[in-house]
Amino acid sequence: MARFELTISRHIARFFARRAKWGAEHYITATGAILVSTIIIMAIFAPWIAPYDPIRPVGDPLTPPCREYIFGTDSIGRDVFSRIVYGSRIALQIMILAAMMSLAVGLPLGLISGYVGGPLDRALSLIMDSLYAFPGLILAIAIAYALGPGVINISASIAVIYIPTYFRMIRAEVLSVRESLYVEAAKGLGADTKTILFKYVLPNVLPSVPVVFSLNAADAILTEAGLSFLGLGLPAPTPDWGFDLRSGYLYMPAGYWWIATFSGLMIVLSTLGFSLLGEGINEILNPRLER
Amino acid sequence: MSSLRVYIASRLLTAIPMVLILLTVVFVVLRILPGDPVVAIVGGHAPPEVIETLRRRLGLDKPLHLQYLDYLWKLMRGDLGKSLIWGQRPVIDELMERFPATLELSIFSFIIAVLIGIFTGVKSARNFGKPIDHAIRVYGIVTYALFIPWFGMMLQFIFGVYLRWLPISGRADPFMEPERITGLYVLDSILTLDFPALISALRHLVLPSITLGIYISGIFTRIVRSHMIEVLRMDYIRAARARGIPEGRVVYRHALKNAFVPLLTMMGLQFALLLAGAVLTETTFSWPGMGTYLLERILYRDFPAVQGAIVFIAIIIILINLLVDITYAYLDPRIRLR
Repeated sequence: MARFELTISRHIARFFARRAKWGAEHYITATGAILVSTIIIMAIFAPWIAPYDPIRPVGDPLTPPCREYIFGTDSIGRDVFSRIVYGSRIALQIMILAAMMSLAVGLPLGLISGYVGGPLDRALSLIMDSLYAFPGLILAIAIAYALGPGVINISASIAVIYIPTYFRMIRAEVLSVRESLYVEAAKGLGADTKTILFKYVLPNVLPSVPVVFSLNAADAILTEAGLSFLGLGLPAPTPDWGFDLRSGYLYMPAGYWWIATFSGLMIVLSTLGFSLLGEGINEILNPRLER
Repeated sequence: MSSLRVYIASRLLTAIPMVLILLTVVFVVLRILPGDPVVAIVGGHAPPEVIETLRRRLGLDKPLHLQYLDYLWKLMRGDLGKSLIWGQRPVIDELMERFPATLELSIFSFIIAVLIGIFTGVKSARNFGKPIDHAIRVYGIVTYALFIPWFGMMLQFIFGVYLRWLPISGRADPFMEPERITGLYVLDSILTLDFPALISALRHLVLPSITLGIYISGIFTRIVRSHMIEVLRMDYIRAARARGIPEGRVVYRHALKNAFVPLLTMMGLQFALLLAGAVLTETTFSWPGMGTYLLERILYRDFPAVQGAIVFIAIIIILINLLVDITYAYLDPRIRLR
């Protein structure tokens, strides 16, 4: 019995000792993880969490926050809280679609460019560097203007901004993997380029993809919200944070503060969540200049 | 001095393909992507004759390669085409009218961001690993997440609607604009000694430039912090401390003064981000700059103006990066030899 108690108290002591050693990175990551998982839960369980239909008027227009409508209602009487809950679906959907699209273009180009080298590599790198120098939001505005509204189109305009990031990261990884012994050995055994690329280089490059994703996720939410705020996002009744912020913007000077405040706050919190998570993971995986 | 000339020449040579690539990207995006620009202008239900006439007027009936050459040739002569609405003036003239507003906003925001960035970054680096350092790092992350329209609206609501201290839109009170010399209201009103106009312009600048300045400052904080951490570990700093020079003097005179040029260079290279932020800031504060111009013309489907504005922004970004690099090389001769 005594031994059992000892084990338990030792476990507790060890737990607290470990907690005491938690650096700032862990708190940053934990806060980020809580914010991000809240948003993911909101998106998955939206119909159960939201008290009302997000696209139908359910109360008097412009009701201030009260017990019935905790975040108030908008200009035509829709529940702001329900729209925010459903808005997380759009935000996550576009973020993931955009990431997949930029990966689909950036990964193969980075692989080929890094592996083949020569003039092709120089040309591709120059193109990607030029794209990278251009302000992302303005590029997205141009593409969204050309493509018109729609979830796929918005995702595509955001995806273009991040192709250079994936490309650069993958290319740099390939350059270091290419020189390694096992690739050399495979070459010596007479493996063709395709086998080397897909069997030896690709699996060793893939782990860097989540890092790029975590760095771009926050930015993708900001860009999507920016496009919607500027009127280049999804068409009218869709619950979208940036769009609601824009409609709330018109009512703000008259004192109806709640529409814009809460939908904007969601954009800020979700961006913050992904930034903190990305920052924390990055810091833990590759601690840089610190010490 | 000749090594500087060589550097400038080589830097110019690398800028040319970049300009060409960006111009090509803009051309491709606005033409080859699905969605016919002409149909986008007049709407899908317009009679075919109208569509054809407009297509010919915009030169969009020619084969793509001819359109492309035409576009580059006109650009080389500074011709961005003519606007489709409101007097059909040359796009370049309209842009030159709007550009000073964006420039003024950017300059003030940049100054605010540099001041905050240096102060917080140095403080953070001096207290490396302590709670204040972590607090400042969180500040850097939080400011980045501050969605500009939302942050701007909160400031508008508190200082404009609720407290009524500051105006929430435009560049100056009606009929208070200074006589136009450079288009920068603050500078113009100082040059013409028009003090009521100066006060009006400055009051209008406060909220937008704080919004954009704080947004950018988080990135500057990071830049300053990581650079200063490195500098504060160098031998000459240790030597200065060993000589008994007070810590404040070591940090500001010895470390910051030497780090200032590379820091300003790194900050200057964030100009693209500043411009992207300016588009959102301008929209939030109805600031009559290039960002609002671009969006207003997107709304009116003014194809030449949209294309012109994006090309203009691309060229400005490249010119500013070029300018920052050359200034850096001028101030720090080691850069030229790399």
